[in-house]
Amino acid sequence: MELQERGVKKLAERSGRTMAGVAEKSGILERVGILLLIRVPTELDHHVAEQIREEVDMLLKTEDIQRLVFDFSQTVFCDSSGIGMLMGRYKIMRALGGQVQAIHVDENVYRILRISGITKLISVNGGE
Amino acid sequence: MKNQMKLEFASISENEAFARVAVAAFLTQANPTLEEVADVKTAVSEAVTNAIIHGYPEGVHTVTVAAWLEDKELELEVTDTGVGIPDVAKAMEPMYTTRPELERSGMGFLFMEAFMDQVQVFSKPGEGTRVQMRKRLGKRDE
Ligand SMILES: Nc1ncnc2c1ncn2[C@@H]1O[C@H](COP(=O)(O)OP(=O)(O)OP(=O)(O)O)[C@@H](O)[C@H]1O
Ligand SMILES: [Mg+2]
Repeated sequence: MELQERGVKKLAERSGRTMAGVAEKSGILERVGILLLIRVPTELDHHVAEQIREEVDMLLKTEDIQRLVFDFSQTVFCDSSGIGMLMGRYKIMRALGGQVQAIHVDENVYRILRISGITKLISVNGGE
Repeated sequence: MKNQMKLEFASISENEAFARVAVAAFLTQANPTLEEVADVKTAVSEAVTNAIIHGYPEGVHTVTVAAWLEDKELELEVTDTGVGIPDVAKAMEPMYTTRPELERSGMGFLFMEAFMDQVQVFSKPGEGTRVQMRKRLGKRDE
């Protein structure tokens, strides 16, 4: 997990770009060069999934982003709406030739990701 | 001891969290494990979200959540008076969704069945849907 984080930092340093000029509506998103970090709130349900979807997709339309990193360190709840949102972003990134990953996933959230089968599509760290 | 509660709320997505938390608070008297609380919260969230998006595709209406607790036996009912489900067996198949354009993936009933001991759906097109679920809590005490 630490390795993962260092990797993310390194990538950010290498690209040397920041969020400047990019809307950061809710403070959920942080753009570091070609990487977009999404700090998932405590509960990823239908309501929150729609917020994230809207904000991420807006950025993807205008910015050159190659990697979406969903940081679940604050998250204790996820349901099928969260899965649908992740699956949708996975499809978009795959079409763009980019990547999606989920980091710091806790046990409960991991259970949901595993049952849904999304752990076979995106890289997931934590929870096992 | 037998206990009962009933909640009625508007079909807006903000209320999903409210419904989950209320049911979780109601459960505490049965001394559930953390995992059991998580299981029930997921099931409530799925059924309530379905009522809001599928049951009431237009406008704001009322969703009802009722719960009964007798010793360690929990019974939950999530009810809407919306569009109803024409083919319940088909709707409950994993990966079956009528709203792929909303990024729905047909996992809701799968999660309800995975996390509750029993799930039954009563529905009639044009009249609405009632999802009834049961679970035995407090497994650690056994
Ligand atoms: N309360 C309801 N009223 C009307 N139709 C419903 C209701 N609940 C479920 N359905 C129907 O059953 C289908 C399957 O529901 P399920 O929760 O399994 O998947 P989903 O909601 O489509 O996707 P997901 O839950 O993964 O976001 C829905 O697509 C919908 O057609
Ligand atoms: Mg659903």
